[in-house]
Amino acid sequence: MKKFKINIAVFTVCLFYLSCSKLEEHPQSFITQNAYYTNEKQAVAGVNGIYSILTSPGCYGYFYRLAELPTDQGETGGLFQPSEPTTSSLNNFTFNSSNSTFEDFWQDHYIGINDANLAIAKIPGISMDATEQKRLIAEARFLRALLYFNLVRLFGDVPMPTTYTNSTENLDLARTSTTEVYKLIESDLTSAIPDLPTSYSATDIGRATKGAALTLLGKVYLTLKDWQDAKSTLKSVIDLNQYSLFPNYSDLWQLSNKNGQEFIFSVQYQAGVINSAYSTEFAPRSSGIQAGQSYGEVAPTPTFLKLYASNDTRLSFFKDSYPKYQSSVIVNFGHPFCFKYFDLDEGGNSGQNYPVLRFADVLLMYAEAENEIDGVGDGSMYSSIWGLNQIRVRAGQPAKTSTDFTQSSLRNEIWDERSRELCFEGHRWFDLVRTNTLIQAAAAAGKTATQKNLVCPIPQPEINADKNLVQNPGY
Amino acid sequence: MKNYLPAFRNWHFKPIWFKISLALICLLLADKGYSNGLFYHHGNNAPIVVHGKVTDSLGNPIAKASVIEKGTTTGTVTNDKGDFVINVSRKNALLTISSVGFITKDVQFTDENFITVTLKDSRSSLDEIVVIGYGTSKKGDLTGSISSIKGSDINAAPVSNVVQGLEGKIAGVNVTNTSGGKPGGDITIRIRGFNSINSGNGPLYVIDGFPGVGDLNSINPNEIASVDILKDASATAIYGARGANGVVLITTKKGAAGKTVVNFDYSQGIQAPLKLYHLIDATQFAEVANIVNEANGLSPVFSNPASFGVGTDWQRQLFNTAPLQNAQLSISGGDQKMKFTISAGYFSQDGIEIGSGYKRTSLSTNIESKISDKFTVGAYIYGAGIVNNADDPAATSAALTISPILTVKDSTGRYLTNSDLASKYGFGFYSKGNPIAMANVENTTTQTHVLANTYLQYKIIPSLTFKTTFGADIEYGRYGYYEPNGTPDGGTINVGGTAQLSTSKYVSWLNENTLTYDKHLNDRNYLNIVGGITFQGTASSSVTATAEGFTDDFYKYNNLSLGSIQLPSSSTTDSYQLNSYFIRGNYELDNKYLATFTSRIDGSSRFGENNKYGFFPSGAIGWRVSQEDFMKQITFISNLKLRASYGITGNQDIGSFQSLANIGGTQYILGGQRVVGAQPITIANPDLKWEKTAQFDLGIDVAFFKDRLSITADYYNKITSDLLLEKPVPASSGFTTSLQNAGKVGNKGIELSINSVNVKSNDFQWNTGFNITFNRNKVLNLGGTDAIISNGYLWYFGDYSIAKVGYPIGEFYTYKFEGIWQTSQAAEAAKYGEKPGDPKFEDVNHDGVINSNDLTMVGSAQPDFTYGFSSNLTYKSFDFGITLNGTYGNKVMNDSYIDVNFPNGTTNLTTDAFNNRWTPTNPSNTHMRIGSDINPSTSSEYLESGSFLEISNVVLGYNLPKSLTDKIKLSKVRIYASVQDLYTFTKYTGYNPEANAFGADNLRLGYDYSYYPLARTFNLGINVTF
Repeated sequence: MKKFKINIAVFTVCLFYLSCSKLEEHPQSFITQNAYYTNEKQAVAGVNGIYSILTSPGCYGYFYRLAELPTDQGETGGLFQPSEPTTSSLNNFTFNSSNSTFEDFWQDHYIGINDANLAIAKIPGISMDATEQKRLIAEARFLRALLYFNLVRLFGDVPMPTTYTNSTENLDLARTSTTEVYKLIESDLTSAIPDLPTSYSATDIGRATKGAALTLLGKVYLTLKDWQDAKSTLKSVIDLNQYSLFPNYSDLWQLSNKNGQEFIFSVQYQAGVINSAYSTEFAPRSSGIQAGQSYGEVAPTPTFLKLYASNDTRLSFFKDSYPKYQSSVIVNFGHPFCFKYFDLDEGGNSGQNYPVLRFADVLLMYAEAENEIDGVGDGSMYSSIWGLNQIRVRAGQPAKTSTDFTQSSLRNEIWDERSRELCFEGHRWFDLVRTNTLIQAAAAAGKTATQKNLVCPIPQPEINADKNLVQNPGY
Repeated sequence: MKNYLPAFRNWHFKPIWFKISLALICLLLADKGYSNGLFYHHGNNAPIVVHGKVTDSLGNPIAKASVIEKGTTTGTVTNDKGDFVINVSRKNALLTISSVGFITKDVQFTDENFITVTLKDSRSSLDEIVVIGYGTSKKGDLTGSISSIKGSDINAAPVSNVVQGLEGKIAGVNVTNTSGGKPGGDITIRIRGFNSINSGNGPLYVIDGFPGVGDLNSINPNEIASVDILKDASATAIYGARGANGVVLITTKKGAAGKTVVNFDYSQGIQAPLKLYHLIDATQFAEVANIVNEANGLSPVFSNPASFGVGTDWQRQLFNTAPLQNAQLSISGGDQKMKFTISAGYFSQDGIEIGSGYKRTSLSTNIESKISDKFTVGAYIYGAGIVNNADDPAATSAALTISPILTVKDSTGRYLTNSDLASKYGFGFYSKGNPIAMANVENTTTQTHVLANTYLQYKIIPSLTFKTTFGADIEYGRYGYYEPNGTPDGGTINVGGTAQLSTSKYVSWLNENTLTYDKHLNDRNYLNIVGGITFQGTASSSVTATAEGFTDDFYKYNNLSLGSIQLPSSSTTDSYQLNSYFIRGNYELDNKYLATFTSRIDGSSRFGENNKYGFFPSGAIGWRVSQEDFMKQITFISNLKLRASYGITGNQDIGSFQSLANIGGTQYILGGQRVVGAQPITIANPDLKWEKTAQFDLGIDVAFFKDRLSITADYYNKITSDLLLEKPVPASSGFTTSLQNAGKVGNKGIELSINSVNVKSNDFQWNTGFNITFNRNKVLNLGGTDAIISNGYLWYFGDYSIAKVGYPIGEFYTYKFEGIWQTSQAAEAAKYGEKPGDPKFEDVNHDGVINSNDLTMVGSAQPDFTYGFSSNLTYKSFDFGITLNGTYGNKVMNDSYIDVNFPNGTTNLTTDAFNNRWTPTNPSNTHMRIGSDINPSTSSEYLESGSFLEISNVVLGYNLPKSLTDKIKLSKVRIYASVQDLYTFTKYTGYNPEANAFGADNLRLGYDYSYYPLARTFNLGINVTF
């Protein structure tokens, strides 16, 4: 019996020592940050992770809310049911810092920026194919530039972390001046351009190309009114001979053309894999024309539709009636809606991409910069009016000649053409702010914008969480 | 026992005595009938006359007590004064004294010729055995705050979940049936308030010593002999890092030595929805759409509303009466060496919502065997199989909003929704789906749960016991989902079926080793020390696969490869471990002064590398004032005890790996194909540790009139600090929150329970119990932020919950409704873009615009107090029981009204919103006009009083007379009828004021949206014992 007692004691002591050192955690379904970025595959996955943020609601998922609603071009399509206050306040400029659209935008953009910062810091330490290594870093820089460009245009000065977050220490960043942010964007893009390829093999289509980085840089220069750099950068996009306009405007919105000749950089979707919501978001709410629920988040304003000539082929993408789903009954909406992203059979599974940069934009940006430098031009290649005419002719409109414009009237015409050509593709609010025409354009559409609306409010949860963050004036 | 041990020992050393005894026993066995006489005649000389008196513990004489000389037939009874006279056969004879209601006592007659015998009341609650962590205690010896309830009280009527049976019965324990009549639905239990904001607030469940049993829903409540709830730190500290939210100790039924008892119980019930909304009919629905168009200057939508008649009553289509069945069989018995219980149970409940239901089949064995004087082994093995057909949580809101004009299906068999009406009539009827189609979506979880716990106990010396247990809690689950072709859920018509299948496995193993020293050191000092080392590990994993585009609905989720679209499958794995060391000492002096000290060291893998181990001490003292001499005079007080305790416990209820920087997976499309990406999800926090709750408790137990009236009152004050808080961090870091130890929450309160035995006679017994709890919860600190705002169910309409410093957790944060703009206020209304008849909200910041800056706190979801009442009567063969429970002062947000009280014509409406709508001639201040073009928004308009008093259970039973049961050779037959959730007294206008769309969420409390209505259940049952 004594022996037995000893056995129990020994057994207990053994258990004690066996178990007490086992409190370390060894997760099997994820890798910790410090153990990540050790090989080529992880480098690729890390950069893919930055791309993945593009589809998030706060990034390009709901981009149209901010880009189209507080403008003269779009309004809430809630004719059948009043829209949520989140969107209706954007539409009528009554939004404040608590509107969740801003918070979503801020959060998702910075998630992407932190991912990019991590990739940019870690990938150089991996031993791998040098060309691919450079390319991946360049992609990360392109994406970081794109995200910062959206942030700085929307909010003005913004916090500008360039290193990844590794602890909860020192997270209360103050706002960095717009100038400094643009410097980072410019340096990211200029360093990325040489390392990015002009095109990719089939399996990598959708990654950032040299053309994408050049186009974005051109847009940055145009926004900064640096006409010379804008012109030369955009001209180099044209001279890549990589991009051309589709013959017909309607070709742009064929699913089969979604990464075709005119598209420079798009947010990628695939039906049934990662579905895009633009088809249901833009179709009139509860109209029954789609297999699923439609939401009518944004619709064109009557003011905007007046910009089109009656024979403009692009007008066919605005419809005020459509057959009911799987039926010949025509549903009348009583108001036109934008059908660019319309995907008939989707039932929640749409593969429509969201175009961020396309060649028509390049031509119009080039035309704008060239007009500022050299005026209207004679219509020959690389003249301002040459750029404009390519867009007009495709839309079934007669080409203009040099005598039709002064520099000033051409400027306005290009801005209007941008609205006609690029409507509901995420440009309008930025164009109106860039050209300082937001307040008058809003007024023309019967909305009241004020000076404070030239930047958006810093989201209130961020003001609360970050003690060094100061709100924009007026909010 | 201890008195006799030396005598037995002596026998070993005195063989002669041993031999004589043996001879006597042989004789005894040889002729039992003769033995009495043998003793009598061979005893010492002539009989001795003994005089005596029998009294109760208060000195009152006990009449008619039986006095028998042990081993003989000689006996007598006491007279009215408690006196007796008996002739005994010899000196040192043993007298057995017994009386109904008292503990039988053997006294040894020595030289005195007058003895006084005091019998203890067998019904004295002070001698009840209470289960405490790693041991038991007499109720009278407790220093901590522990409430106990018997299994028979829990199972007074068939309940599917043990927690349901606790509702309203215990002070300080708030049980909320947040999921109404949903079979197998969530029931939340909160002990002494809410400690945590982001970590768990539920108690630790311990079944027969196995802590942390995962799924209580799968435990058959009929397995349970008793539930003991540990509330204060003195009681819970033994569970250290898991004790802060209270501990629920569940003890299963054990066999008893003696005759084998077979018990069979069967009941059959029927459930019906308790309450439905009054909604408008098809004609009125059409009128509403016409009024809306008229308000907008448009022509009528429907030319002849009356032609639609009454239309479809969708609630009646969706909710039906449904049966409930419960069958239980148990066999128990044993002898001095081995005791066993085997039981089997079957519980089947169809839901009142079509397509939902719950079935549980369970089997258990409980066995204990004394191998020798020193060794005891035992095992409890429980297995259950569960099939849960879940409802579609959105079906109710679809039923409330869908137009009564529509039929369930059209002539081609296609389900109809408001979208069909919208495209037919060109009006924006809003579709939330077809409720019947949604309810028919298959949503089935099958679960297998096995709980096995074995132990070996070794008595090293009589006062020192070693016990080791090995156990495992194993759950295997399979979840299948199939949405058939053409199901309109939400607004989306499913093109091709969608199937999902997932399986999950959960294993928790346990080894506990304890040493217990228990000894009355001498007449005055009693000591009980328990020390232990325990290890517990848990591992879980799951796999989920999804496919879409099934053209044939036959396969459901049973052949996923036939879906035309294969969605990514996913899998998870998780594990954690706890290593614990604890010790508890109980000391009693003179049976008056009690002291307890407990401490536990818990190591948890879940915490940061800098904080793996935590120390949780507690101490308590008790004073049994009624044992003092000066109290003996005050005879009407039968018990008086004061208790005080203080201690620290923890809460480790967060997921695993939360202290690590996690790189998670994301996906994107490149080249038209899915590619996998990596993305940081969390920031590392190597300092992460448990929440710490410091609790002070002051309690009094007092009983009057021989325990006929007993009162327990406790005051407690808890401060929880180092909250496991998802603290907002600036999003410019790439993260929105980080799990940190920050902030403080306080709970203090008073608990009172009063139990009385109103009538106690042979034919008629009547007991009542009442309890009430006042808890005051307050957020004291949020680690630098002022408030945490959490989105309510319809947050985009301005519906939020807030935890704000200085206020209770879960205040509603929304717009403040100020009535309806009246005609005379047209000018002021116009400033806000509104017209007479539109709702008016408070412009909190007076900026002339109603927007999110005007959100404000409008009420609390936490009650001022909760209470319960129960009463049991037994009259001859009849028994009757009733249980009530209620809350007072809490608010409920009825979000259903954003649909059915917002008359813009797009959804169905309540008759109230229709009949009492504002019109220029009916200047209502509560219901807006029909056809307002304002944005819908949630507000305090939809906030209602959630106070209620519910008759949760009524039981009437009848025991067949013994003459009859004897004839059919049964020992007991009881027939009973019960009603559960008979009636709720409340001003709340929704389905049930206990609703919470967020289940057991910590912050978002009291949201009623798309609720599964409460059911009233009638049961008829029979219980047979033989």
